[in-house]
Amino acid sequence: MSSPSAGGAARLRLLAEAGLLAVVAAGVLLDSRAYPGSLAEGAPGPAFFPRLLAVLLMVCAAGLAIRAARQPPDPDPGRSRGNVVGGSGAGRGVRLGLGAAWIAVFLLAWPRLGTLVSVPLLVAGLMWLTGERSRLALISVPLAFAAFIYLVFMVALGVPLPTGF
Amino acid sequence: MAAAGLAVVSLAAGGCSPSGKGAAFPSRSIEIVSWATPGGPTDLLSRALAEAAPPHFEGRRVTVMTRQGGAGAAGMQYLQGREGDPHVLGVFTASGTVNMATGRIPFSPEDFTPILRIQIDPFLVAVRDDSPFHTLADLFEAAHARPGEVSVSGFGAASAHFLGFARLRAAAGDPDVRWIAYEGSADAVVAALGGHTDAAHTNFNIVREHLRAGTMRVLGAALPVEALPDTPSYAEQGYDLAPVHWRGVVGPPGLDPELRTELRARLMAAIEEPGFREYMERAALEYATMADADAFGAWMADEVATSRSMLRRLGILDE
Amino acid sequence: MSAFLDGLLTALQPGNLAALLAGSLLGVFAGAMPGLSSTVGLALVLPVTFALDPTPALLMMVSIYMAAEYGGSITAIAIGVPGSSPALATTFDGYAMTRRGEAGRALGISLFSSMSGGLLGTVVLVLALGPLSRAAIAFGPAEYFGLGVFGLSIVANLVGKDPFKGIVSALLGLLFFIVGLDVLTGAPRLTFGTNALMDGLGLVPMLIGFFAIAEALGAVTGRRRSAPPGGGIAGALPKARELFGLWRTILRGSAIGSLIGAIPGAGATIASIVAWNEERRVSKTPERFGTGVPAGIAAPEAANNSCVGAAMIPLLALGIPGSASAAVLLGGLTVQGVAPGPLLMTERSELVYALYAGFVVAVLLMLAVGRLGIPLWTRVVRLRPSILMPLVVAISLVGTFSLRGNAADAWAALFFGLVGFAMLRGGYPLAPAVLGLILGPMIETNYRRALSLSSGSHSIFLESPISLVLILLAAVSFAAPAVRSRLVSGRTRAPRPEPDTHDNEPRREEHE
Repeated sequence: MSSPSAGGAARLRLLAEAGLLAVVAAGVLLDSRAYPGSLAEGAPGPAFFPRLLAVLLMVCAAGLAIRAARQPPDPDPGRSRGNVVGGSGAGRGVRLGLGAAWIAVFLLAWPRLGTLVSVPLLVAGLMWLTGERSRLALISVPLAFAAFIYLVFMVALGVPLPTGF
Repeated sequence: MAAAGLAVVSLAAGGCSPSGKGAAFPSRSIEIVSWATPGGPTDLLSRALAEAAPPHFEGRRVTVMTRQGGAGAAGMQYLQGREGDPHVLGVFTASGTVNMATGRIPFSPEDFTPILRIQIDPFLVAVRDDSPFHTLADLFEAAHARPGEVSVSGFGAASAHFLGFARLRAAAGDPDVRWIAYEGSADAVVAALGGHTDAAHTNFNIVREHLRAGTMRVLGAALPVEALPDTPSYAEQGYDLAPVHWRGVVGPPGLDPELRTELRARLMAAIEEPGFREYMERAALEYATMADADAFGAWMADEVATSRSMLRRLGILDE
Repeated sequence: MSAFLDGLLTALQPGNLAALLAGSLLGVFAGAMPGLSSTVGLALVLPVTFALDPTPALLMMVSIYMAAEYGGSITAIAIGVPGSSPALATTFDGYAMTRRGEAGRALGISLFSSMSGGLLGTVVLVLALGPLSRAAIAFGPAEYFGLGVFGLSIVANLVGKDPFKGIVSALLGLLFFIVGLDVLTGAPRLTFGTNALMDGLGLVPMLIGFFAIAEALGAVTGRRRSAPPGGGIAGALPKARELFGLWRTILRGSAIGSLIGAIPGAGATIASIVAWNEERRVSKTPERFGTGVPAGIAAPEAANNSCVGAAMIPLLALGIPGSASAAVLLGGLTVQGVAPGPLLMTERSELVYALYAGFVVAVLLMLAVGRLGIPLWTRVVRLRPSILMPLVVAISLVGTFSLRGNAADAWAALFFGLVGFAMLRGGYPLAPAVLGLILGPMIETNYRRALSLSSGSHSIFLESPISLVLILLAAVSFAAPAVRSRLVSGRTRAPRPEPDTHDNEPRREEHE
């Protein structure tokens, strides 16, 4: 990335953060309309604190937007360093999505496949995504870990982990 | 070694076909699903039952399976999903029926098969020893005279404890007593002990030691408590109601009626075990098994209805 | 004294000693596994204690409770994931020291401080049972509110280089606490009609998400953790002189832990963060906290172990469990026919003294078990990231599920993992959000509770001396960093004495 556009990227980023905070705050205000009043006269009800937080978040969002407007054109050195280490931004986003999706798939499959099948798959997949390419490690580590979970958690401690089907 | 000592509980085999008629029951280990706080009274009941039950289930292992979350719904959902399977049981309480009434949990008594109510735990109102109040009437008269200035601490809002006190307050002519909700019954007792609230609405077993030591007194108990012969009940003080906390065993929906009767008989025998009796005594709880499983079912339905009408009266529930 | 010696003889009987040892092993394990905690460890042995006599049953339980508080620091130091929530503050300096290649030193400091804190907490329990139990019930809504605000003022020291983003993080943490049923009205808030959110977003899923999953997602996207200089992790233990040189820090940490631990509902997590913050406040070099200073490990670890003894004060003297772990202990006591309360000391003194002695023996066993484990843990640290991080995620998710047997908690951990990843990328520190989630309930619920009692008059917060002092302290604590930085910037024209090169690692929040 060339430096002028990096400054623009940082500005966009701050604006996105401000927008996100504002949306969250608005959502809280919207939700708080359904809350009942206080059970005791004179005391604040359940809506008081969420609304206070929402207002403070709105103020912060405004602060971020102002900061975005004042963003100098030169890039934030910390962030550009991150880009160098991680390679291209798009590739990183894909890998992040894959990592999170693999965990989500595990959570969905866990109750059905059971702990002893799904946990080694989770470990092996994450190892591969993290850059592990040794076939020996990709097979032995997940299996050893499953044995550990079985012996310690399920047998010795009697933790009722999902068994599947 | 540690591991050997701890290797008492193992995993119950999942799934399996529910044993229908003809199939020998029990055909595998029994699970008691617990959605209560670990170490709390309901969790202890599940565990005491798991200790006492095996001899009455052909020596099968009885395990407590923790499934907390969603105000109990996570565990109830697990139980509800095992339709017709007599090997999965759960301990239901007054909190469960109140949560059904408020709609916090998406279930009704018909989603389970009531089997055996085991114990009741009457509510009572306790004060610190130096309190100016000596009877319930003292407390309510003070509240009539100084609206909003008399406070009672207790567990939760729109909870079993809250409704138990709300019913008492309604019987006393709705004085403006402030209900100060706490995260647990013990916290509510601390508030009264520390003088932050005027009284605590709780259960006997929580204040038992303070009563023995004389650091607290009871203004009135919902039902006569054996250990408190000098404490008049609500009825004896002119309030005609007896709200209690109760706990009992339910099964998944669609249990075969014969199996249900059989389960009830086995559980009845289990709670007569000396170990279980000892637990009941130590936890200061009273046996309250009802005539049969249907009576327990009617009780649960009645609890939901009573709670619902009280919640409507208080304006917490619409209609 | 002779009663204590009798208790000691009881605790040293073979059966009781075996129970204590089993408890230590399980406690260190449960503490160290992310997701598991002393509460889970205690709940797991509850059925076992049914079969035991009262004395070994109780000794095993106190031993678990004690050892788990040290165990939590192991993972906090070794991999930067607090093994249980009271070890949160230990990650600040402990993990920084590991990244510098001194895992053995950090674990040694933690173990020694945990032992000292455990012993000092026991001394407080024995000597101050009566007075501290009275102090504990003096805490009403106004006082808890003061304590919560005081705790939140610590955010001022956790915000990192960009205070504005630190405040946003704290606000988000407070907002996460709102999710669930409101204690005072029972109304659902921010649950979006789903039953799974009614119990709220827990602290454990947040810690797992922020510190384990966010870090693992970082590793997946190719971000490298800074490798220790020289490429090696040393298992070398700290020198005895360094440990004994920390005595002031340990005393302060233990005093804070004993006081806060005795207050029902406050707990070891708050105590250890307050201890870390106070240590930073009295330090001559507060700016180095968070970069791996020994006092930053010793203070929170002494505090969370001294909490164990202190948490027994309301439990034994009043029959009131002050923490989730104490609640399980109370269950165990009930099953054994031991009813804690004002009469326990006179009616069951032999058991109480055995319990006191059991604490001392449990602390020593914890030292032995912990010391034997250090070489193992320093080896775990040396695993390559592509093996270590996936294992951390897997064990964290299994641990989070084990906590309540609830899959929704594991989903919450994934949610927090994504939130934490995004926050780290945007330069938002994570610790303030955690503090917000911990202190939100104490602040909001007690604020409204106090005003319910006073019919809306705010004077209730000023009439209580405890509440007034805590609120004033909070104001000072919040303003102190700004004032100090002004004073320091006035002074820095003079050259700073002995700039310490290897202590100037970036703080966790800034490190990418």
